[in-house]
Amino acid sequence: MKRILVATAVVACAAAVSAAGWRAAGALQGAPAAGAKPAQGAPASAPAATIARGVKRPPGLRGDVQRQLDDAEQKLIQLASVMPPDKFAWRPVPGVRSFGEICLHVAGGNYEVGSMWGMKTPPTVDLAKIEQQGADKGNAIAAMRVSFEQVRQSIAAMPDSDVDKWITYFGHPGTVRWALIEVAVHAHEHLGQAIVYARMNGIVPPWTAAANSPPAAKPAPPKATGR
Amino acid sequence: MHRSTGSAVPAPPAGKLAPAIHAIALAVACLAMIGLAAAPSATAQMAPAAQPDAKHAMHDSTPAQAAAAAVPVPAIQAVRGAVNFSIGQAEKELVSLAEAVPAEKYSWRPAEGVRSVGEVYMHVASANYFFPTFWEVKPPAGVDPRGLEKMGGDKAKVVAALKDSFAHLRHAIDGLSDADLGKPVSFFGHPATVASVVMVAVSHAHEHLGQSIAYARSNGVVPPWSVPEKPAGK
Repeated sequence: MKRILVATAVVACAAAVSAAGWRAAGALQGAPAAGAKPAQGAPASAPAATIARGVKRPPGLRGDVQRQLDDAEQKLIQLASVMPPDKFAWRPVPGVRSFGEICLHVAGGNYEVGSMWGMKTPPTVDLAKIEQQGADKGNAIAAMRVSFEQVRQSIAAMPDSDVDKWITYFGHPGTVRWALIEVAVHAHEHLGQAIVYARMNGIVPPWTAAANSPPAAKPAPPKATGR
Repeated sequence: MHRSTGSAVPAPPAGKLAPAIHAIALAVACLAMIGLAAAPSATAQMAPAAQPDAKHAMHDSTPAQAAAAAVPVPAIQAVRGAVNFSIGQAEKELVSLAEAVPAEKYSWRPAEGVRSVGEVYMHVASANYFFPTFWEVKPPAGVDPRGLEKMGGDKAKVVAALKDSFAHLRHAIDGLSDADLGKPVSFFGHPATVASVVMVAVSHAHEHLGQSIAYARSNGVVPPWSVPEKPAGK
């Protein structure tokens, strides 16, 4: 089929964007940062070292959005986990966000867009200042984890009937549907940006490294038993 | 939220979508008042995806349009309008970025083994043709999506291909029905629906937009929408 032929041209990236989102829950491989501090707004007991997977993906648009969020979250956490701590303050040119600031900007975006449909931003999170601790690897990773988890819980708890509710979307009339799409594409946009930052620092994204690694040697077949 | 990836200074709370939505709301209000069928060109430039043609400009409402019209929005129209608006945002910025990056930078890449500037744009174009094949919309005759990335060094071809591919994707989404959205498909070996693939198409464009912005910034190119306006001279 044409689809199969065309797939060869885009499969590498499209699969990276999408197929990971279909993987079983708990596929996250990124190790937690050593000595990670609780993120802004993270309760002391927040499971900052793991992505909670207790929430099943809902049906319909909410599930499709959640799948994209899971994909972006896993890759952002994996990428941040392999980025050396001293690179969190790195930026390609003066005047643009550093790597760590991108991580915290994504976390802030999760809260800000979520607030459009009524998700509560933790009282300890100051969206105006959330990017200021971008040089702290542990904080950046933990803040992303906590924010993605909050969005996940909020989307799971949302009745389907809420999707078409009218809200204030960036100061204008919109629906929850628009905000749901926005929270997912926002994370992906900054994932794309973060990948470039990593590449420019000689870091290969872990999922790409894994895909490019040679397959493990097959175990030797069992010896014949005598006949 | 300040969504501008390469923004030097955090933007005010209103997001980058706000001006476009505002423009649409104004345009719709104007259209309602003066009874025109076609959108003003300025509106089309702000959000080309939101008004693919006169029919959908009237019925495939953006939230602002629907609010202005004060009528319920059927599910399919809400999905189509929301998705195509987000795709239109990525399209608008990718095209303007592709036009702003100097031709000699199209072969730049951040590291060996990674797509160049032009190859990223062409990869997006290729994918824009690929995703609709999941709901049986084929690329136009004469377009070989597999060959697009090879032409990544030719700025004129890249910009044209990018524009054409987004028009194709938006038109393909435009043609979906409620029933189509729920159809099961096999997506890279996993069970999914057409709606799931549409959502991937949106995320895909935005992810490579973020990548392209970082490429541009690394080459000293400020995204056109982030260029500070010069104070008016007296």
